[in-house]
Amino acid sequence: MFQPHSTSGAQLLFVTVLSGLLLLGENTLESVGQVRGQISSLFSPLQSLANHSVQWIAGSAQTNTERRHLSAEIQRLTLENERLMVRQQRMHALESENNDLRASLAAAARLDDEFVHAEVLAHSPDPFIQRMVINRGFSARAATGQAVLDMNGLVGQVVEVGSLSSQVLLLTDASHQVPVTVERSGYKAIARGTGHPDQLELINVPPTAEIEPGDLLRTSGLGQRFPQGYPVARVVSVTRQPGQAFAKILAAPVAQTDRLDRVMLVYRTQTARDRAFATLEVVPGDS
Amino acid sequence: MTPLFPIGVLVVVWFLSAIPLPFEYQIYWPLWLALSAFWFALYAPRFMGVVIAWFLGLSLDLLLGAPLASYAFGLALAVYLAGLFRLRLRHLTMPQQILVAVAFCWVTLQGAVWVRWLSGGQGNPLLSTVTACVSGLVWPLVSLSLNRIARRISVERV
Repeated sequence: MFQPHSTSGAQLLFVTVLSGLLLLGENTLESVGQVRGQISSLFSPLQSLANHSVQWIAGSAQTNTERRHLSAEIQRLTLENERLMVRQQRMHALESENNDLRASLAAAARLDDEFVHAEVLAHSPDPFIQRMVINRGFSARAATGQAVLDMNGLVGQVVEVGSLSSQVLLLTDASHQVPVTVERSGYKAIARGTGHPDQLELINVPPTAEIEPGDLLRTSGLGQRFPQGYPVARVVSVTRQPGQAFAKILAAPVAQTDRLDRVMLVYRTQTARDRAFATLEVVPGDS
Repeated sequence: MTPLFPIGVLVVVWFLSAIPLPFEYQIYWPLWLALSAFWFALYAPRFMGVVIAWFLGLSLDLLLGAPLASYAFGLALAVYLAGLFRLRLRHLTMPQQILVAVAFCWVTLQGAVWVRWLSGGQGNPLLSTVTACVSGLVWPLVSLSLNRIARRISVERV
């Protein structure tokens, strides 16, 4: 059926305006993100099918029963190992913190976080977008802003939640930033994604800051978004150029963000400080 | 005339678009949705208008986690341009059609990049040129396959 050009032109104008409104709504209205999360869930079966097809092709060489049993056992042990590795990360952070607190002779008891395993359904095939879909949604108490880990460290955060799946923005995405602290010196900075899966950059760091290649960056807990003490990245290079206000610092994330099959969602135990912040947020007219 | 044909093509294209690839290979994966939209815009335009293209692009935004309306706007713009020259494009030789398919995918990707810039995102536009070129290379495969299937199930082509 032939459409007159004027009709097509009017349609193009209409969808252009619609695109603008949608873009504006996504950046300003939280409800648009929620609706998007729900609609995106419709694609979860397809993404899961595509993911499993690729895995099936990759694993088609394993045909005999013994290998299947071994595979199941390895999978169970891998899950267990991942859980323990995350616990271990936490223990290292707590040990360090405990030493500091002991030194100051004043410490409040710290509550541990809870973790829930999630399977990665899909990674975004778009090279400009560092996101993935996991098989946990509202039904698993997933929530926007929730931190996501793997056995090595921080992976990203949940940005859209559907009924049965959620979208995770990886920490390597160009729009993602995370407050970090240098483990060795305690220096605080912001690590920003570069859009490349194995690179982060520290922004606004003066040349005199005590950061060297090899330093481990952990979540600082500032901003109340990410829990404190989880490994984020290791500093790869520090370039200090005379005349430049800031040093150019690149780091490699400790998590293999583009090759993950399973991750863990962190359920933070609410501390007295968190409750105080939550109270402040709901008080109307609070200045 | 069966609407199952475009729906079937759409499901296959969604599946191909959702296949996970390592980061290094993502730019070499064709833009399947844009290629099939190009085919429908040329050979079965009753199934492919600007508004339909916009909704298809929106589905790609949701599938890939892209900012809403980025691929939607890009694809709608490309389908509009293809519609303007449809009768001429249909009679081009295959090598010429490949070049047009590259341009079609490039317009789609550039539209998506512009919208992302508006929403504060980043992206190297040169990378999208690579994807457009790869998409052009698989155009003969897409075109011949869809032509053959359409002929077999007697889809009315205008």
